[in-house]
Amino acid sequence: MLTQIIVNGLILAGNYALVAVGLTLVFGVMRMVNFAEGQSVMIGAFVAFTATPYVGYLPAIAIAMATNAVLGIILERTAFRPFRGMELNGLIASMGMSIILINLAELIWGTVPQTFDTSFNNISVTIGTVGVSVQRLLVIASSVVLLLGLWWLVQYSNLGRQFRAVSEDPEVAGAMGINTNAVARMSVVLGSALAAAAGALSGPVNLITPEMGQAEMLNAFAAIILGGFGNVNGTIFGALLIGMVQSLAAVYVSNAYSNSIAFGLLVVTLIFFPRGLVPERMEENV
Amino acid sequence: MSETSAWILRALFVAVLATLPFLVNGYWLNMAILALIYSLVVYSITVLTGFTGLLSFGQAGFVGLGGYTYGVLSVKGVDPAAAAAWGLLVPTVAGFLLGLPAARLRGHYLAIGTLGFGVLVGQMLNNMVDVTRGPMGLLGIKSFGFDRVTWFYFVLALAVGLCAALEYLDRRTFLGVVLKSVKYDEISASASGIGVFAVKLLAFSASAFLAGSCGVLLAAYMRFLTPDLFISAESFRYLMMSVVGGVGSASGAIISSLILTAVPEALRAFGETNVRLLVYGLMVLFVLWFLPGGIGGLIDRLMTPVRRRITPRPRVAEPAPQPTSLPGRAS
Repeated sequence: MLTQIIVNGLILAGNYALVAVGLTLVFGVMRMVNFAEGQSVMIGAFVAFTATPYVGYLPAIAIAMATNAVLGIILERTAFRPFRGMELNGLIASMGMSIILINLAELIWGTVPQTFDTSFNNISVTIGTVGVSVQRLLVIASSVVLLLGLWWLVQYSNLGRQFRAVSEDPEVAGAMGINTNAVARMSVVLGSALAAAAGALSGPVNLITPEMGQAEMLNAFAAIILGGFGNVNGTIFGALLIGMVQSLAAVYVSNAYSNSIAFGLLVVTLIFFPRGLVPERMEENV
Repeated sequence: MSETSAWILRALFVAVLATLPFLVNGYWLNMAILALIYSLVVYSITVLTGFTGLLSFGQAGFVGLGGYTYGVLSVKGVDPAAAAAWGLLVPTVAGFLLGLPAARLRGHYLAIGTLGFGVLVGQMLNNMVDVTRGPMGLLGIKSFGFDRVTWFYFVLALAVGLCAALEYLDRRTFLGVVLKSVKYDEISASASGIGVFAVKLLAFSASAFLAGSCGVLLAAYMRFLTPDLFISAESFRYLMMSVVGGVGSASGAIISSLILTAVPEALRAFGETNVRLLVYGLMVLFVLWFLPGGIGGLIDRLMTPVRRRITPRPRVAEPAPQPTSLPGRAS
């Protein structure tokens, strides 16, 4: 039982973390919330689903990530670049894109939930007394690898330094010769590709539907706010917390309340820690 | 445009709306009534986000509380007027209570905190099956006994009246200035002796009241409720209406709720629902691209007399003028 809860919790946490880290990245660089991130998850899952019969599951994940990178470029052009400095407009524009993407997906793949079966679903290993499918372990392992990769990228690579410089102060970063538009585009591309990975990985564990992105994104938001906006470590911590609590709640309380519990936790946390558990550095200009 | 022609335009707008029952069939009248009812929740965003600068992703929660309070009481046999009073009171109190912790939150923490509230209310309505009948829907809600045309004039009067009241509040009253001072700069507002916390609580309660009244009207008009009407996707739809209308412009709000309700219906000509919503999403994008200030921004530009038109403020703040000499001290 305990193993089951932990594995399920880690799967949820890995997923939320991948989505949430993408959102945090975009927010850090552009101060905008990418509301279409949930749809990137969904598109990723469906592209992988379509590609798997032709190329196999693992390459299909890469294809999904590449497709979503292109989607990221489109998103940045349509929903973010025209609205620099107009935060609310950018938010609504990405919401508009998300309506468009959901309906495109329904036109292409239909509204009926589909099962996404991979060969890893049928192999299982025994941990303690319970059998866990390799697919589930793969989800956890890939999430960890991707998150570590992102951490390295942000911390040590040249691109990561540019990300951090732009999120610190876009004007000064621009004056230092950083192409802020290109950096902003890269943040959406990366965020979108990570979301695709989240969708392609978790798709075989759950059902895939064009509506699946919404719930995923709401929980990712909860994770981000719990952890403190714009903070990658805090976000991962928040995702772990929400995933574990939801997985516990699904067993001991009821599945119907799992969202309530995540958001109840969030609201209670915000009452006592108005800036999240790992507060974001905020300047106050008087 | 001169002041007189602005008034003529306003009167014309209301007059065209008032003749609607004679121009369109029952189906479109029904849509117009729903759009006017939804304009109330868009006003609630105008007050909260537009005037006071607080972003809420949980307005559907207040609408749901209002609607279900009215609905459940009315099904239990309470008089519609009393049920409506409760339906207004419950969301207002909830807004006040939510405001207590929420007024301390900033920016996105506030947005997601209120989103949490919206999700909690939505799930509660779904799961409290013995009270709300959950996903089966609440049937047999009693109404005020209006026929459809009376309903139309009732909500039209309400929506236009509130629109005028909000525009007045925004442009002519000190309260409007107080609200906006909190939006633009909390610190200098509190330095000027404005109780920022109290103002935010007021904005939350007023906004919850408006959203709740939308819920009560929805319940009384449709006489059937399901929790699906109050999920968080609805909150985002209201927000979309508000932004397309131009946040902070009540006139924009009523026009955009009419347009954004009518367009998806008119697009039924495309047949397939997916294509319809696709066009809808594109339309929202186009409005945002070409009218960054929304419909309200367009109205403001048209209504401002040409000679009073000011050039838009530059994006970058100008440096403060250097004092050449200090007053009261000879240099």
